Amino acid sequence: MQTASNPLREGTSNTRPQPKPCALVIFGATGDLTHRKLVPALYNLAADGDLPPGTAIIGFARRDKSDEVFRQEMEEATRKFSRQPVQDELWKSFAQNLYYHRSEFDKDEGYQALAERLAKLDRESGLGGRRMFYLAAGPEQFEPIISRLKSSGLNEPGAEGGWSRVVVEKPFGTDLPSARHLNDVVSGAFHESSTYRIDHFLGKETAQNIMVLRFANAIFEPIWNARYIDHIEITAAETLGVEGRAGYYETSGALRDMVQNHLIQLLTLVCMEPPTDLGADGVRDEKVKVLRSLRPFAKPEDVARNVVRGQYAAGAINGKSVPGYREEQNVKPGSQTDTFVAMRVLIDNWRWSGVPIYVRVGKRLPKSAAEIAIEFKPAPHILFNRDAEGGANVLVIRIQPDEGVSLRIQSKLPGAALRVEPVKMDFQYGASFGKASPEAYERLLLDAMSGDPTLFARRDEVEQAWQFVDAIEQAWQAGEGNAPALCTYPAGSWGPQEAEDLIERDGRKWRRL
Amino acid sequence: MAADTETTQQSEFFGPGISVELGQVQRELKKLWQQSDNVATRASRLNLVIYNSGESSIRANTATVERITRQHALRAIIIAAKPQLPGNHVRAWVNAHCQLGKDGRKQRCSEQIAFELTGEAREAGLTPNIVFGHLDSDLPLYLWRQGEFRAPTDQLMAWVDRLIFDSGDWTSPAAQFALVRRVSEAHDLNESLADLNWTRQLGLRAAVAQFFDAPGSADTLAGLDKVAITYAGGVGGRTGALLLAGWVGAKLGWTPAEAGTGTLSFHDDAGRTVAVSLDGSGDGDGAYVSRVALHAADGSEFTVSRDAGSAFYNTGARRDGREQNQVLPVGPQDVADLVSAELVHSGHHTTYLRAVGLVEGVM
Repeated sequence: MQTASNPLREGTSNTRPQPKPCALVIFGATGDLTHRKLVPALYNLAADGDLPPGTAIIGFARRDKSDEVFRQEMEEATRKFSRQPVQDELWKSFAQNLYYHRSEFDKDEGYQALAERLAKLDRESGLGGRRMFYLAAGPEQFEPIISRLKSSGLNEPGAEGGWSRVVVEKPFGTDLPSARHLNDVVSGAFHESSTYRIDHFLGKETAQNIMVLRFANAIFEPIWNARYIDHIEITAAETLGVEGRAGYYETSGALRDMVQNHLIQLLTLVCMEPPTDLGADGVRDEKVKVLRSLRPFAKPEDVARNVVRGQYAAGAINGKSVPGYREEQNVKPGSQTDTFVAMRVLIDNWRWSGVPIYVRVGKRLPKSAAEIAIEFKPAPHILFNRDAEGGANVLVIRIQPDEGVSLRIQSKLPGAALRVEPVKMDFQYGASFGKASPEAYERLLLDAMSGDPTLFARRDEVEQAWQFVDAIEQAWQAGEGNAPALCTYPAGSWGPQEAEDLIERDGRKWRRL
Repeated sequence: MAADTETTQQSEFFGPGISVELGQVQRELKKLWQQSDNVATRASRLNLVIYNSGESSIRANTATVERITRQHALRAIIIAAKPQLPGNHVRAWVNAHCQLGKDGRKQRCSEQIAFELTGEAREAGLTPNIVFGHLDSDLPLYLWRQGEFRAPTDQLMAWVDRLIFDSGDWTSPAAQFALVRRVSEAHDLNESLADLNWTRQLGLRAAVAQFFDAPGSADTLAGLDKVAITYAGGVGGRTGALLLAGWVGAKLGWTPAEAGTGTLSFHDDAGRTVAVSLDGSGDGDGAYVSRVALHAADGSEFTVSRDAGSAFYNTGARRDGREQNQVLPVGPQDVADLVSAELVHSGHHTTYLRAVGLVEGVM
């Protein structure tokens, strides 16, 4: 870790070694992500004593404003969005290291001035040439920013012993060619070990707990395979619609917005082999092997048979009428954008041979929930109430809300008759650990400062995921008459009937969430 | 601190709970759950046994347990040994500490069982039996021994996974540290000792350590020649000040030289002398270090100070003609927060006994 040279540091944190202070430059400092997530996360790290003292945060954006105005805006945002209340004395100290740098993203002068500013901070604050560049701007700005970071020399450490890292927000490309191109642009300026492709799902406690559950509990791994598992369901449902993001959503859709990154990342964590160690490459090597084993949808017919895309029509959420997707602001009247995807995925390796993995994601569904359900095969010989349904054991990993794990088991109903009913054993994070979990961004920012890329996607992970998803997208974009239909579903339902048909063809049903 | 999404339901003004017969504790606990109409989740991840043979009451400890259970689901067993009270009996109470969940209805509850041992009962060696008979099975046992250690009960110590105490409460720290060392060696607890006086300095140690993160700090750190520590709170505060001095020394490989009135000397690994001065004139209630100043041979100076009651340290670094100031959180200070911090600390205090060893001679 970064702290090895300071013997006093060892053991000063209850949770993890602390990184050294750095200059964190946020491109897109006036945007939503900076206001809602990044600066509140940094403040929370400071409040918990985890932010290295002296860390400088420089907001980089096009609008003209002073450091002072930027600090005031960030204070308002932090008071609104921070998980902990803002304490005036601490905010004052935190804010003295907040700066604003005005520049166009594509103007060399702005980067030269930034370089001078960072060098001054190095001299005055002892930041040691450690720089982290966070791309929170629109994806169309990634390339101009990276190329100018390179041309101004900011991709190099600011001093001997320093480092220069880049954190790239999603979307990382819109398809395989664009992702490859962006990867080429990034790798032309930053080494892979200095590149952090962020997926905030991986910063969630429960996502991290998947590996702990699987590999720290000896009872699961022997049965975590095709011999004992019937199928897996991964669900990410939300009640929200596009909420003012139609401009972006129209170019992405649920497949590219959620499946290519978040859901495939969860799938790899559930299905990967035990890594040789918990080092970044140990874990990511195993995840990539899963991605390589995903059975591709070679033909449009495969897509039509295994993937359902849907779009919500008008309906009701929580008892209130909501418009259909095409009636949302900034959505084209004849939009073909998918707001719902259900798919049946197979992994061609020994562990998972023949085990279908059903993935569904959607907007305007009846409730917001993300979870993974492992449904085991039923007991081989049914001794009790043979006609009972729902006899299989199900292990559910709840990502959000109510993070936790539950296991459905069979139990005898009290009484003289020998009747068996399912009961649920439920572990809730909130019940066993009252301490509030840190926000995903807190963990991920700290990891990037520490130089730990384990929870960030590697180049080959991103490209493999795009390769898988592109086949689906290409089938959908096929000429009129050949493309699989875009199904509609009323807002507030669990998706189109075709999604039910997809799983029922296999003699199964979606879980009731 | 409680999760911000939850509210706390106080348990009858922190009374000990429902009085029960000693042999009926489990049955009465079960009744408590049956009365909850299935709106409560029983949650537990450890057993916390609180043993007190002094003045601290079950009522005060109940209030502390209530605060701890906001962060940690556990079974608490409070044992109040009161030889000064007349009679020779054991009384028991059961209680539940419940927090309302996000839905405002479903509760998660931690159990508390309290025992009062009076007169000869206290001396009858009942404690291990009482503890063993009421543990939540398969969960670790944390023993929080309040006040000073007396002759330790080896039978109980053999079961302890973590031993919590507060050297800031001790009036004769030298004898107490010797006792703790003997107990920990006998039961292999060396790295499972949790001194709340050490935990109290988590934020202080981090505030001192951060001065030396800057590049090129290794020479400055190796060249420390003076350390001045101001403390409040009499003997307990002095013990804390010595622990801090011991921590710096243990981390930097110092060896004890000699001690004078208010001053300690160490040799660093190059054989140079480092003077550590202790000043007990700090303000405020409770035992704590109110200021520490470190001086290095290259002229650099570093200070961490805290006003009485403040939640923050003010830090200042002066080196190479530049001065830098920061405000940093003090970390846990209240006793419930200190214990909570220990319950979440899954690692071990590897430096603690080394630090104690460096300053034990001048306790």
